[in-house]
Amino acid sequence: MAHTYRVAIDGMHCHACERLVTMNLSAIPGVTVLTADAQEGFAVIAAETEPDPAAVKAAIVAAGFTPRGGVVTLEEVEWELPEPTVQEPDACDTGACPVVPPAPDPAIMAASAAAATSSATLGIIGMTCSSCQAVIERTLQRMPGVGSAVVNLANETATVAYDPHTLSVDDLVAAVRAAGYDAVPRDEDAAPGTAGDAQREAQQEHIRGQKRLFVFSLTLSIPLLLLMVPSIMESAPLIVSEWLAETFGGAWDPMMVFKYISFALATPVQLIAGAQFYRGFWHALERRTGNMDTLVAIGTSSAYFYSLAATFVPALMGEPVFFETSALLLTFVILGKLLEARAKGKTSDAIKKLMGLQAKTARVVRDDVEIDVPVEQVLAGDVVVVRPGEKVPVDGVVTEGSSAVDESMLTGESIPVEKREGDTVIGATLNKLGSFRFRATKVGAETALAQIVKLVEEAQGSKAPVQRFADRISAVFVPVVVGLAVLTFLVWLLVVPRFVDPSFYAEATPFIKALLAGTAVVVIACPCALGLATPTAIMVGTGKGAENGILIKSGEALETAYKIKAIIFDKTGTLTHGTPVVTDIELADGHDTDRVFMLAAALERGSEHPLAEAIIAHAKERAMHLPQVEGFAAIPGHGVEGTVDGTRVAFGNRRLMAAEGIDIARFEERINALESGGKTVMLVGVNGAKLAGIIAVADTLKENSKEAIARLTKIGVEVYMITGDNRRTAEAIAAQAGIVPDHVLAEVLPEHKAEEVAKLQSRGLTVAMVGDGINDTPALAQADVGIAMGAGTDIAMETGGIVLIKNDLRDVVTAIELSRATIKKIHQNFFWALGYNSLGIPVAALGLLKPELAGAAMALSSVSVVTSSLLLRRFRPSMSKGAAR
Amino acid sequence: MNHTSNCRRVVLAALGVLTVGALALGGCTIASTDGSHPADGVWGYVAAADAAQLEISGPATADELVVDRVLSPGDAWLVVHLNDSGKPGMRVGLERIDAGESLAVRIALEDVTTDKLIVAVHADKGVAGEFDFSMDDPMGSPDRPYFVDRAELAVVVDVK
Repeated sequence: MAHTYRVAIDGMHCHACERLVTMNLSAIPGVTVLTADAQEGFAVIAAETEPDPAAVKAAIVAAGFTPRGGVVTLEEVEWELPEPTVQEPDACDTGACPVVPPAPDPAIMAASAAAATSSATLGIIGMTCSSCQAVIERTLQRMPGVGSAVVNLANETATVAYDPHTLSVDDLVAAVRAAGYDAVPRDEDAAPGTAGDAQREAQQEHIRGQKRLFVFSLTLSIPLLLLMVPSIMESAPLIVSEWLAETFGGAWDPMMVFKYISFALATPVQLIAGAQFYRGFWHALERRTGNMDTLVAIGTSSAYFYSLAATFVPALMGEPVFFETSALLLTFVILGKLLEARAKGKTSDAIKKLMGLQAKTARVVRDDVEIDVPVEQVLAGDVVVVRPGEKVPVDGVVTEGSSAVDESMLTGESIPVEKREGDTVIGATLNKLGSFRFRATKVGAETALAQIVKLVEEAQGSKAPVQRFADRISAVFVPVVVGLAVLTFLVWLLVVPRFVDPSFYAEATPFIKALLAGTAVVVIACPCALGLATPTAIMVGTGKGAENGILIKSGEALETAYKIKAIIFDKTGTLTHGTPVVTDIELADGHDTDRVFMLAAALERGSEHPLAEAIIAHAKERAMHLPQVEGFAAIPGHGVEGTVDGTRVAFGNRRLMAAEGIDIARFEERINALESGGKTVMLVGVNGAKLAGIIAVADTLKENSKEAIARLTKIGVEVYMITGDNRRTAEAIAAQAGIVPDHVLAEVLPEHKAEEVAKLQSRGLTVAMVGDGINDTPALAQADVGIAMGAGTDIAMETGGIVLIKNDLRDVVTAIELSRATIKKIHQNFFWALGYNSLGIPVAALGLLKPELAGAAMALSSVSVVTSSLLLRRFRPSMSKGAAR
Repeated sequence: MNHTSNCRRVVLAALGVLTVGALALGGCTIASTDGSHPADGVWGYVAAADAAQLEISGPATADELVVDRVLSPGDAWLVVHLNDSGKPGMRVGLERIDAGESLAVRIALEDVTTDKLIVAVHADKGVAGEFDFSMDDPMGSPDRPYFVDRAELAVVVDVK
C-alpha cells in the first residue's frame, strides 16, 4: 500500500514552478507526485516505501527550489487524489520563476515524468545560442513520454529521461531534427570517452560544412567590400559596363551595373550561406520563439531585400543598395561560429587528456601463453602481466610479484605506491621497476578511469543553477530586441527628421538611416555570448578539477562550493589515515591478553568499522586463530556483539557497556588517560556481566590535514570535525589538526551526523561535509556540498557532489578555490556578454554602428567569452604539491 | 607551452575578426552610401562606339538645328544646350528619336543666346515620351546622356 508524504518547499511562485517540482520529483524511482502547491509551498508524493530524503532534496534543488529550512522532512499524511484539473500554462507574472514551456497537458506531463524510466543522451549539432538550447528543451519536454530534458550548450548534448514504452531514442532524434537541428544518439555503454564519437564526427562534418560556407561567403564578400572603395566603385562598374556594351550592345548604366554586380555577389551568400539562418528562423517561428537565427535572418534580410527592391523596382532604382552589409554580416556570423566551435572544442581537453592515459594493449595469460591483446579485449578474470615501464591496462588485484606503481596520473600522488600480492592496481597507472601479474576485476566501462571520464562528462553536461540567469535573459531577449529594433526604426524614420537639419540627410534618406540603425540593433543584440558564459566556464572548471584529482560531479556542486562558509570533516579516514593501530591492551583480573584479544578480534572480523582493521591486523601479526562468531550484530555508534566460543562478548564503547549493564568504574581513570591522549578505547565485556579488558587504538592524523585546515581557516571557512568518538579523544585529534574545541562535534551517532549539518545550515551557513564512509552518506546528502574521499565507499562517492581521488585534504581547499575561480569567471563572462549587448544596443540605436560592424562585434563577443573561460585553464592550486601538474 | 600557443591562436583569431571589421569600417566609411558618381565622371549610360553615334555637319540657326545622323542604342532624346563655358547650359531644344538610326532630324530652337550650342543624346529611360532629366539632380534622373569611350556623346555646333 502506498504511503503519502508532504514535503515543504520554498520558492515556488506559479504553475510553472509546480510543474517543475512535479517533473523532478516524479523522476525519483517509485515516487508519484499527487500535487504540488505553489501558494502553500508544499508537494505531496506517494510511494510504497519512504523515499530517500537526499533524493527528494536533490530533485527539489534540481527544479530550482529549496526544501523548507534546507532540510527535507517527509511528513506522512492522508491524501486523496484530487480531480485532475487543467492548469493554465506558465501563469507566472513574477518573472522570478524558471522559464519552462507550456505543456500540452499537465496530466500527461506528470504521467510522462512518472513513467520516464530510461535515459538517453543525444549529441546536438547546430546550436548557436542559449535560445537554441531553449528551443530544443521545449521541443523535447513537450513530447508525451518525456519526463525531463536538459540541453547543454557548451558540450552540445541533450539528456532526456523518457518512457521507453511511449517513445524511442529515434523519436527523440526526429523531434530535434524537426526543430531544425541535428542530433545523434550517444552510446553511453561505449568505451570510456567514446560515447560522443558519433557526435564528434557529425560535429566535425558540421564544422567542415561551416568552413566551406565561410570560404564561400568570404570569397564573395571581399569583392563586395572592395566595391565600397570609391576608386573601385567608380571604375569597376564602368569597365564592366563597357565590356557589356561591346559584347552585347545596347547601353549600360554603371550605377545599375554596380547594383547588379553587388546583387550577383550577395545573393549566393544570402541564399546559400544564409539558408541555415532562415531554417532556424522558421523552426523558431513555428515554436513561437526566437533565437540567434531569428536576429541574423531579420538583420540580413532587411539589408538584402531592401537592396533587392532598390535594384529591381523601377520606382526605387535611384535608392542606394546595401548588399555588402548582408553578405559581410553573414560572413562574420559564420566566422564567429567557427571560432566559437574551435574554442569550445578546447574546453573539453580534460577528457581528451584523461583518455590519453589509457593503455592501448594488454599482455594476458591465456592457455598458459602470454599474448598481447587490445585493451578492449581484456576480460574480467584474465590474468594480466605487467612489466617494468608498462602501463597497467585495467583494474585488478595483484596475484604474483611486486612493484612500485606511479598513480600520479589519477591521484596526483607523486610517490610510487608499493604493490604486492593482494593489493589493488588501477588501470592507466604506470608500473615502475618490478614485474607482477594481476587478475583483472574491472574492465571496459567499469574501470576507475572510465568512471572518472564518465563523471567528468556528466558534470560538464550538467546545468549549474547560475545558468538559469542566462536562460531567463535569453528567453526574453529576442522579442525584446526585435521590439527595440522596430522602435529604433520608427524613431529614426518619424521622430528624428523633425529635429535635425536637412543637411543631415545629404547622403542618406531618413528611411535608409532608420533601416541601418534598426538592422544594427537586431544584429548587435544576439545573446549567443550570454548562453556560453556559464557552460564553457563549468566545462573548463570541471576539467581542471579532474586534472587535479578532484572529480566535480555537477555544475551545481561546482557553483555551490564557492559559497561554502563551514566545512565539517569526518574524523576517521578523512582527517586521519583511517587505519588506526592497536597501542594498548589493559586486562581485568583473571584474563589473559591473547584470549581477550581473540574475543575482540573474532567479533571485529565481521565489522566494517575502520577500528576493526587495527584489531584484525594486530591479530594477524600474532597469528591468532579466530573462531566463528554466532549471533553477530553491529550496533551503530555503540560497537559489536556476538557469541565467541560460547562466551557472549560485547566489544565497543561506554554506551555499549552501559547497555549491557557492565560496570567500568574501576577502569575509568585509565580509560580517561588513554582518551586524553587521543586514543580510542574499546571495552571488552563478557557474558553481559563484567569487563574483561580494554583495547586502545590510535588513528594518526594525515600529513596534510593540518595544513589544509589552516588554509581553510585563513580563507574564512569555519572548520568542524565530527566523530562518534568521545569528546576527549575527538578534541585531542582536533587539537593536532588545528580545530578549536568549540568546533568539535563529538559522540555523534551516524544517524545524527546529518542533523549536525542541518544545524549549521539553519544558521544560514553554506555547509560542506567531507567524509568517506557509509555512515557519512546522510550527512553528505544533507550538506550543500558533499565531498567524498576517493578511497571511501562507493555509496559515499555516489552521494558526494565532489570526489577527491587523492584522499588529500588540501584538495578541499583546491576545490573551493577552483569553484571561486570558476564563479568569478562566470561573472566576468556575464560582464563581457551583457557588456557587449548593453553597450552595443544604445550605440546601434543611436545610428553610430554599422550593421556589418555589429555583426563583427557579435562574433567577437562569443569568442571573447569562450577565450575568457579558457583562461581558467591557468588555474593553479594555491597549496603546493609535489605532484602538481 | 601548448596552452600558451593555444591562447596565442585565440588572440590572433580575435585580432583577425577585429582587422576584418576595421576593414569593413574603412570600406564603408570612405564609400559614398548613396551610390552616386562624380559629376565629371561617367554618370550616364555607357554604349559602344558602333552603337551610339552623332553626326552634325552644318551650323545651327537661331531657330533650328539639323542633325544629319544619329545612332542610338535605345529610344532617346536629342538635347540642345547653350554653351556655358564649354559645358552644357540652359536647354534650348529637344527632340525625341527612336532607337536605331535617324537621319536629318530637325530640332526647333528658342532663346539661343550663345554662338555655340552643345548637342547631346540622352536615353529615354524614364516615362516614355517625357524628358525625365533635371539639372538639379542629374544623377538621379533616368534620362541621362549616353557615354562613348568615357565621354558624353555630344557635339559642339556653331550658331550662324
